[in-house]
Amino acid sequence: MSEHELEKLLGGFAADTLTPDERQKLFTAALQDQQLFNALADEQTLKELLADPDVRRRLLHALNQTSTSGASGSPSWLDWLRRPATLAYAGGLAAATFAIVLGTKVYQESLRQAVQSVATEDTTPIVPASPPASQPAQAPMTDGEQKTNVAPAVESAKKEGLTDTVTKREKATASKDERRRRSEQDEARRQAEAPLAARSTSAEDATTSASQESNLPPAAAAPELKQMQANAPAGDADASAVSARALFYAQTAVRSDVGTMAQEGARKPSAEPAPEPNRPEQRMDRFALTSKAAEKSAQVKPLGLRYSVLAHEEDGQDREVDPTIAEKFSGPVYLTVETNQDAYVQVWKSVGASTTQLLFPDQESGQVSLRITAGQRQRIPLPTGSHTITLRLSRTPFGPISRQEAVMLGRRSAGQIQETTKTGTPTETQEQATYIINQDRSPTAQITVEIPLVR
Amino acid sequence: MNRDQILDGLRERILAFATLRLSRERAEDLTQDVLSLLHEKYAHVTELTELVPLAFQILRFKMLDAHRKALRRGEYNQESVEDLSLADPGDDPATHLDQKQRVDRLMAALAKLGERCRELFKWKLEGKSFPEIQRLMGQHSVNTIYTWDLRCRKQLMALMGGSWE
Repeated sequence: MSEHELEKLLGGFAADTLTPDERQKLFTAALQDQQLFNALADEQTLKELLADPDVRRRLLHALNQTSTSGASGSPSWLDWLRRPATLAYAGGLAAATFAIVLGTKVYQESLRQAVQSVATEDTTPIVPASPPASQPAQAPMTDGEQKTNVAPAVESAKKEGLTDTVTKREKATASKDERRRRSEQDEARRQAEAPLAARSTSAEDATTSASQESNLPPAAAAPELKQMQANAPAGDADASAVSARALFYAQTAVRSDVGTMAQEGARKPSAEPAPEPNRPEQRMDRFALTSKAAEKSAQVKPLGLRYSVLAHEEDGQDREVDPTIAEKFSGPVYLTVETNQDAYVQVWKSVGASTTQLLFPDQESGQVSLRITAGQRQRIPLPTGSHTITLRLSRTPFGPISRQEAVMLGRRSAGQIQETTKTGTPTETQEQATYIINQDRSPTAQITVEIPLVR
Repeated sequence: MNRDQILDGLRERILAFATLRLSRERAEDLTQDVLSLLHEKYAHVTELTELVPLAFQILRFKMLDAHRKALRRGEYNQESVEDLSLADPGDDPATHLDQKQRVDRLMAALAKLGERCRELFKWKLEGKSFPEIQRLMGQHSVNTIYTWDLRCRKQLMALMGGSWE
């Protein structure tokens, strides 16, 4: 220990706790170092104070009391908390907890999205084989007719070898939310169809109700079912459970008396100046509800679209045809568009990947979309040549689109159900149309569909 | 180092220390008084470790006496001799009060010290040496205890106002 460090022994001098060796060193140094000597002389006061046993006892008692209260009180705990190591541990623990909570949330969110996407992807290529797919299409039928028609349909499905494995797979992958949503939709559809059935049965010609399917013999209903099933691969997750056509008419039927309309349509199929065959709700406007409340309720219904390609044949009649065979007709070909509620529509024509032009409404109108009334079928002449028609429907007017948006114009909206129906025989085709329903009930819901055409 | 050498060293240090607090003449008188007492009354004390503390103790008493004499003579504040009370050979009440107040200040200052300093002072008051305190506090080096004690002592002195007096 150097002489300078001997100063540290001063504390021991006052308490008289120095060892003989320390004492020797300290005092020897004090004789050589005036500063140390002065310090020792100053310490003498404290030394005398501590030399008193009574004072020493009091001090010890005070120190013990302080340490006891400190050990049991909060200051000690606070001192422990203020340690750098404790603070570092606490900070690390807080950061880890935050990371775990955040990671769990992100993981759950991604898991939820993955489940939804898996459900959509799994059900998209599914061929709907379950009876509910055809049941809504036969909604206007009476109970007796349903019994006679459903049985052959089921037999046909069995013959086709369609099993329920796909449906089971779908059910396994679909989330609980999806099931809940589906059950709600089924419930809404049943509620909408219930008055229809009642009206159909109460009408005089209930047996010849509006549905074309009801006029068909059971033998014809089976091919129709097959056709509907075959044409609905592009449907969404609910395609196997919900018929887009049934939803389309179920929603509109609430606003009109479909049975009566269908009856009139069946009596005079070609009496109209511009006959639109197989349209069970031709004169819907006459029966439209005037109640504002009813209109409001109609606005929240799923947005529905019906389109078909209409060819003018040589015999002077228009006939709905498959878009893929439109090239066979030399006469004018039209695209008919009908909605289940008032909505805005626009039709784009795309040639290749770059050229996109607005086909409907006309450029002369100065608008990019046109409002069409529910139930009114709009006829749009189609140009010749190979191109893709993009049909867009929305409750709100469309705005101008950029070039990038034009490239992605044909992207389908989520939640779309698509169903193509074909009724009648090859020589007397009654209806060949595609129904699309967007289950999104928000005001911004849209329907987008691409129709490849070769003429 | 024999006794004479120790006394020579003590004389020099005591004179320098006293000069800082008293006048030169009084400091020399004070030093002479201390050494005379050590030479006459404590001639049997020869060890350095005993002689030096003894010198400190005598020095402190002599300085206190010098203060009292100066006070009596009215050197700090001139007063009539008749107004002054007779001197008590024992500790006067003022000394008792002074010591009591000093102890109170010391206890208050100790309470303000940190846990480690209080622990250190407790061991010292219990008579533990630095090596013993080192073991009690679980330290590997006694120098650590020295350093801690120096810091604690300075902290205690600061809490008491910079002086033990």
